[in-house]
Amino acid sequence: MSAPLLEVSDLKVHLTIGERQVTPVDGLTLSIEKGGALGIVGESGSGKSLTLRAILGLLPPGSVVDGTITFSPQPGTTNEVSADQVRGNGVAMIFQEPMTALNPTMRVGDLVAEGARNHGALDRKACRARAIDLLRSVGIPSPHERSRMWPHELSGGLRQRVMIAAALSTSPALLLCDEPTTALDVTVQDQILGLLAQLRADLGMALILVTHDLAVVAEVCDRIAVMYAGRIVEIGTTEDVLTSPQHPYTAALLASAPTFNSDVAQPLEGIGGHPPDPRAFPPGCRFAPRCRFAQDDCRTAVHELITVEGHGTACIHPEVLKVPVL
Amino acid sequence: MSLADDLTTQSGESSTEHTFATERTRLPKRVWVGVAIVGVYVLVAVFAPVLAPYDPLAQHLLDALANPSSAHWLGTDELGRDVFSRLIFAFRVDLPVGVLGAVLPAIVGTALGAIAGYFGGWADALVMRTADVFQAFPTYILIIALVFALGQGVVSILVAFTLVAWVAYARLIRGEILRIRGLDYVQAARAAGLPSRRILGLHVLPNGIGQTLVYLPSDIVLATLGLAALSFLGLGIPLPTPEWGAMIAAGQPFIRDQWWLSTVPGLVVVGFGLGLSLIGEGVEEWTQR
Repeated sequence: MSAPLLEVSDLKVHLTIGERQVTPVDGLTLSIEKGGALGIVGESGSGKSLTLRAILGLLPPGSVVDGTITFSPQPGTTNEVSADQVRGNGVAMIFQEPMTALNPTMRVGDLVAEGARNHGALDRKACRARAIDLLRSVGIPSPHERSRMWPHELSGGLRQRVMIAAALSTSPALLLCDEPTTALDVTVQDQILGLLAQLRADLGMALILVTHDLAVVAEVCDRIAVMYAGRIVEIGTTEDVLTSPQHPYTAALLASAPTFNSDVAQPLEGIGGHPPDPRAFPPGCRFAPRCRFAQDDCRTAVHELITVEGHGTACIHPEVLKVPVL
Repeated sequence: MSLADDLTTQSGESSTEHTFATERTRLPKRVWVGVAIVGVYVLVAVFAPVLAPYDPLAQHLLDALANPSSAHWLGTDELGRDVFSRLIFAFRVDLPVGVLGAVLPAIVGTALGAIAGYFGGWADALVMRTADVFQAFPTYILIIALVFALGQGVVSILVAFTLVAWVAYARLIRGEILRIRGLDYVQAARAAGLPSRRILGLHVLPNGIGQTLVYLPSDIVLATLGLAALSFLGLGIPLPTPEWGAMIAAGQPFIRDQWWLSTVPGLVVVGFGLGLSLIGEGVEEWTQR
């Protein structure tokens, strides 16, 4: 097996809030193959978005990052990188809110051309042509006219496409997507996911998709990492994780999502309690206080992913899930 | 994926949005009134030699303090110089000094405030503490002290204005940049690997400069009044160059009999201030829609 495209090991993000130091991302390890698609799911505050931002070094001032990130866009070259090196140099990112992620004082064509201009030494005219090509490649109708428009003149779906075009302008090998469809209508959501899947296939570009929507991950990704309280609690192929979860948290997440066969009269099952406060993570397994299978040794368990056939779980008692609960 | 649907809803949406947008982006009428007034002032300054009937410096001591007549529309001053011609030529001093007296501090203050706000850390501390020091002194006292120290003349007045007035611009832009720095499109630009200089110039400044542009016309008024005040006190443009403030001061002893000597230059200053205020207020209203 060739070296993975991106490898993150033991990533920790420390933030200082007031006087106290918190660690919302605490020892995260993941990797992604060239052309792969990884979904990171988890509740709000589980550290998903911070993880992406840490990879690109876009954390708020005053935060400290520990751990190593290696990025090897060319096979055979493996080197540890700092965030400054990957930015615009093989890794690009798209954001959740397409209204605020586009500069309102730039025409969308110029916005897309900007990345291209920074990336290669192209002249102004070639950049504009490249921008129009990119706008066309993300499925924007009449790209010539649209390139002269301002962001506020476009709909949410088109803005998200513009953002994708801008991200593609640096020819990334890896695209980080921070909840790319959360702010969109369901129908537009589907189009954008289709576009991402198609670009991945056409350009051989890897995707890391952060979302709290399991359906989105199931549609686009071939691997899933489930995050809880700053750590990955389960990682595996989409099929394995969704059909035979090995961690009670994943199982509970799946149980709380509606399906076609759900009885509408029955309230959806929730997960009791609240996600732990990063200022005071519980010792041992961080899900233990909310886990209905928790046993005494869970509260002292060391966090470690136990991997069986490529399917890792942090639960020390995965056998409890063998009893059909779903 | 059906793009046809997207296309039709799009064109419909954008056309309604478009009419709404032009309605919204139209400048208020008072801006144009202000522009017209300021435009007249600029034209007078440019065509001063054509418009002025006499040499503004030519003295006719026998004709001193003459009343307005068809020969001297605004009479003559105590040295027999034609007041109307002096007033016209004064446009060529007051306008450029007023404008530069606001634009130079705007450039310096915006640059320093942008650096402070965007990079933070010690750059921020250095710029803002320096700003505190300058702001600790009463404005006019500081300007007068600086003009005393640097010597009379246009250059030292502009230096003094810049040293005093940059603080307001630095604070304005710093506040805006602190807000914009955290927005997604700046993060996106950083994610695309753009150098700081380009991010600041393309993404941050254009979105943060609005308040500064609203403040600029009012500051031109302040600078023009400042120059007039300095000249009134005898610290402005050296004599005998015609200047509005100096003319007001020179007419002061004769205010009972030849009231127009001070009043007309005063009204000219008021008119200029009015024009700029209309522009500033209108633009502010426009940006807040």
